[in-house]
Amino acid sequence: MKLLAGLTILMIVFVVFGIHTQQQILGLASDMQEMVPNISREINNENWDAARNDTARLLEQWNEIQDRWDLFIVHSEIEQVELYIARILSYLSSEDKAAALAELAALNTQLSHIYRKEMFNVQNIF
Amino acid sequence: MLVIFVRTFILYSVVVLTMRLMGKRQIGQLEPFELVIAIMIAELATIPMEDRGIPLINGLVPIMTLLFIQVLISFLSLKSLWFRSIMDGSPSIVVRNGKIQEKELYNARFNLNELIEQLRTKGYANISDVEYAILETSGDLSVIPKSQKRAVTPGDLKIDTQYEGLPIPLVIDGLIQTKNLNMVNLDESWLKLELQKFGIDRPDDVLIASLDTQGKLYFQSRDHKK
Repeated sequence: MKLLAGLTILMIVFVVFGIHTQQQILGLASDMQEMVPNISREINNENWDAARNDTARLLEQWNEIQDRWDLFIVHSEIEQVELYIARILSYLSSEDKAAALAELAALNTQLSHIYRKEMFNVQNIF
Repeated sequence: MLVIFVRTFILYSVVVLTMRLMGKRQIGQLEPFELVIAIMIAELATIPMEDRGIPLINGLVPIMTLLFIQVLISFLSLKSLWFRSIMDGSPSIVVRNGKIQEKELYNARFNLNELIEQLRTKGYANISDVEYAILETSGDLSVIPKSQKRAVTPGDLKIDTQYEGLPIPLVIDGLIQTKNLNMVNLDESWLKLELQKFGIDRPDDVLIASLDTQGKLYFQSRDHKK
């Protein structure tokens, strides 16, 4: 009975912790996604310095949350985000508009993918 | 490499702990739902063990959840007969009063060859010697022979027997089992004195020593003294 009570508490902790981390991941993913249209606009306007600064800020934000996400999200998906940001920064340095926009779109899709995958819904369960 | 080493260590410890918490029944006889859980746990542990890309928690959460399900099912099975029959099924009497129950055999999808084979392994080559054969929920076949065919017991022969309890180990691998000594109201000095009578000065030199219910000390000294 003690074991069952202990495990029931553990299951409640899992559920509460699961809801908390899901909310956190969803919030941070959408925060990062909100920065994407701004960077996209700056690239389109060939405002390279501002685009570079905003992408650096995106990377900074990403570095802050990455360690926490490592615990819950499949590592390859996290590495993919890191790779996209590095490519964007590189294309911005060489002022390659088309490539930078393409990588930014890919980053946006990857963040949406993480967001959709972490959501608790019927599609994800099945 | 170091990461996989540590991950293996953690997952192994968790699986062993889980199996221990599932109870002793796990090791010897698995009910259908326990077998499913044991297989799933083994599989769940190996995936994050070898794939560093999968967070460890992705392996630990389902293992702990399965443990919870198993403990919950065991608890509900303990409390409710109906639930137990749903989860474990019920035993099938395949031989009743010496007669094979065809319908029960058919329902259990247990063929005659299997029945005869199992009876043989239990020591009953002739089916006419069997009064009852019960196919247990764990898949074991329990056999109750006809009274004329079972082994003779002292009770049948009206022979008085002495009480035979469990011999208590007093020294295991050179280590005195103080708890067991206290249980039989004896102490280390008594043990040392008894061993000295057989020329053993130190309990360290004893491989095993036990005391039976008649008060007889059995011991075996080590081949290579420390």
